[in-house]
Amino acid sequence: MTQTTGLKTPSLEFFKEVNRTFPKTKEILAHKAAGKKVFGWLCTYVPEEVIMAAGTLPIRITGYNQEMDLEDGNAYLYINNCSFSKSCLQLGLRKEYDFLDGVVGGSTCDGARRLFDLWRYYLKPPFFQVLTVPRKTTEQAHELYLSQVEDFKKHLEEFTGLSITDTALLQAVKVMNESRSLLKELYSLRALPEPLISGQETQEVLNASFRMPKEQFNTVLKELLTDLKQNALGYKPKARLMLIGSVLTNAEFIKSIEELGVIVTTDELCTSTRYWSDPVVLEGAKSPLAAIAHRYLSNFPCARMYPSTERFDRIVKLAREAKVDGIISETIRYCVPYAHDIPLLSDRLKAENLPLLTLDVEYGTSGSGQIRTRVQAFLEMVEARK
Amino acid sequence: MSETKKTVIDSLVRAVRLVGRMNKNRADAAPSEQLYYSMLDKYFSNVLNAKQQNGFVAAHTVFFPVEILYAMGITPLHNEVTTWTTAMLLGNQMDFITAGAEAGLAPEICSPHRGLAGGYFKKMLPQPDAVLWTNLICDNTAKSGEYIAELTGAPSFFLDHPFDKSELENQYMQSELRSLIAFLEKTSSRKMDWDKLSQSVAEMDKQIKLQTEIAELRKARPSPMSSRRFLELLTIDYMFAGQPEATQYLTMLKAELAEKISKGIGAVNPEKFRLMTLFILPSICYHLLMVFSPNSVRSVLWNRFFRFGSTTRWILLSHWKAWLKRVL
Repeated sequence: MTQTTGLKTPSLEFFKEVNRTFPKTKEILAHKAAGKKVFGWLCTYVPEEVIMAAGTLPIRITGYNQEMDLEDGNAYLYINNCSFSKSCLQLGLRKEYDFLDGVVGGSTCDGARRLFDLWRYYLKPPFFQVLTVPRKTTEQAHELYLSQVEDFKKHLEEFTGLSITDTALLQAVKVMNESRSLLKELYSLRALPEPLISGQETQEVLNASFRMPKEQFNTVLKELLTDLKQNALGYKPKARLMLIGSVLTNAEFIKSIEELGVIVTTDELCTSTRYWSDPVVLEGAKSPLAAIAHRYLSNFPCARMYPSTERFDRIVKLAREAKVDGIISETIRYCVPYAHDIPLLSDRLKAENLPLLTLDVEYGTSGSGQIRTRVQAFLEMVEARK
Repeated sequence: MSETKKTVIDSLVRAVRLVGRMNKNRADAAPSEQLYYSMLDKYFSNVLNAKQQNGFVAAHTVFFPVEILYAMGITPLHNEVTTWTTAMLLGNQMDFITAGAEAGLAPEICSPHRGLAGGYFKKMLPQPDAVLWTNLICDNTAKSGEYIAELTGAPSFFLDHPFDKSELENQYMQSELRSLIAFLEKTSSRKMDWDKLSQSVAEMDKQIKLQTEIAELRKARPSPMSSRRFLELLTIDYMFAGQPEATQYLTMLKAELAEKISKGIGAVNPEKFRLMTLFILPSICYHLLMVFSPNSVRSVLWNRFFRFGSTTRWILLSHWKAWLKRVL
């Protein structure tokens, strides 16, 4: 069996501790104690740089790290809303996010929009905004999205009483781009023939990135990268897998896969590569804000975007780069955009000779029981092909 | 249309004509009902005969601005109404839904869109010349159009409807409409008839007013309109928006309802209960509507979805109208 949890460095332990204490992490509470504001954002189409440039800490709203009994979520949301939106709402209703000064979302999917409706109605955050996010990336769509980001900036300035300067935006871009660059480096260590970090460990790092100031995150991530390069022994997996799909924050799910002797060497999730993949490119942009807006709309697309071929192309490219033997797709139950992509994506991956296992899961699932059995069967098939 | 293979449209035309003939013989059949079935007959016959008549069929999802298609001489094929009408009249909804599962769509995806995809996957629905869709009214619609386009291999256009109604969102919608028209002109080799589109926009004004007046009339006690006819109103709106026949239908219906109210005639007598549903009535199980028929519970369904859902559509119609006016 492959070693899957052997890496123990202070930096990784630090990230795990952040996740253990989320939502009320020490880092968030320290920011609040300093009299600064904290904003929660939902969906990768919300530009964190704008929030940061207002001196505000952006943190990602997620649900419970584990699959939970969602009594409140089920009571307020329809049965056919995804468990991610229910889990987020339940945390909100139980006042786990009561430190938030604002909530920002994108008009991305039905589940998110219903969650925003209820969040605004019941939790009444002091600041609330939903950005219109076009589903296309045409020139007109970029113009529209930029106008949304400009409106968001203006709204934020009114709320905080601060002017968001180009200098502050450029500084935020610098910090965020550094995060992206460091995460890219981490992924390159993950994709080595003998990966220096597992998928489970990587997810811990990613989760922490949503839940603490980015400058601090970058510092600790640099330490981790140094530790990995100097001290880590490479994993020797019997197979290399890729994990794709919607939102996933429970690293235990990946652990349960990797305990079968494989390493998830790359991924394509809302909470992984799609979050960090593309940098903000300032060259040639009309303004820092225009560069930020352009990056967010043309970033690695999620399943809501049209056409889906760009998502598929990028998945194939990532799979080739990380030399994976197979792909596992996790779709949260009732996540319509991702579920709809499955038939076309299956055809595409078949044509690319990339085996695919599709799993319908609830958000937060740890991947035990039937899921584990299905993954085992898939691995047998993958290994037989090698 | 590029195929002559028989599809559900053949059966649908026969069924619509049969129901139309049966209706004529009903003592209480309203003239508006007869008009409705003749409109359906014409609609599906146009689809059926498109190939022979050198027509161009555009399959589209719900809440698509069909006014544009009519103004360009393109034959519309409303995906959702076509499948729900086949479900009602032919009772074959499970064939569609099973085919959707075979096409690989998960059970969590709503059954109308699984059925739609299944219909095209199994070629139960005709091969269109173009596939058009919007993100109205849910994620299912936004995604199913792309899948249908892939399944059919037809040229396709996705009309991206913005989330809100700011000035820039209006401008975005206009650019989308212009792109749609350019796409249709290129793929169909037909030109937009702007005068015809202007007439449709003017007709929409009348239809919005009539729909509002009909909704008001339905509130009378006893209610003059049976719940069964609710789907007619939706169908008229979805399939014939901006067309003179739709105005004619709505005008007739309004007059019939007003007459019933003046005579104190309700759809059911006596009217014991007044119910409200929150969404579309179950078109795949029309029998459920009969549960509320005069000889059983003696009730009147007053459909909230119709009132508010249709209001939503009217709001959309107003937007289409505003956008189309600015495109004109």
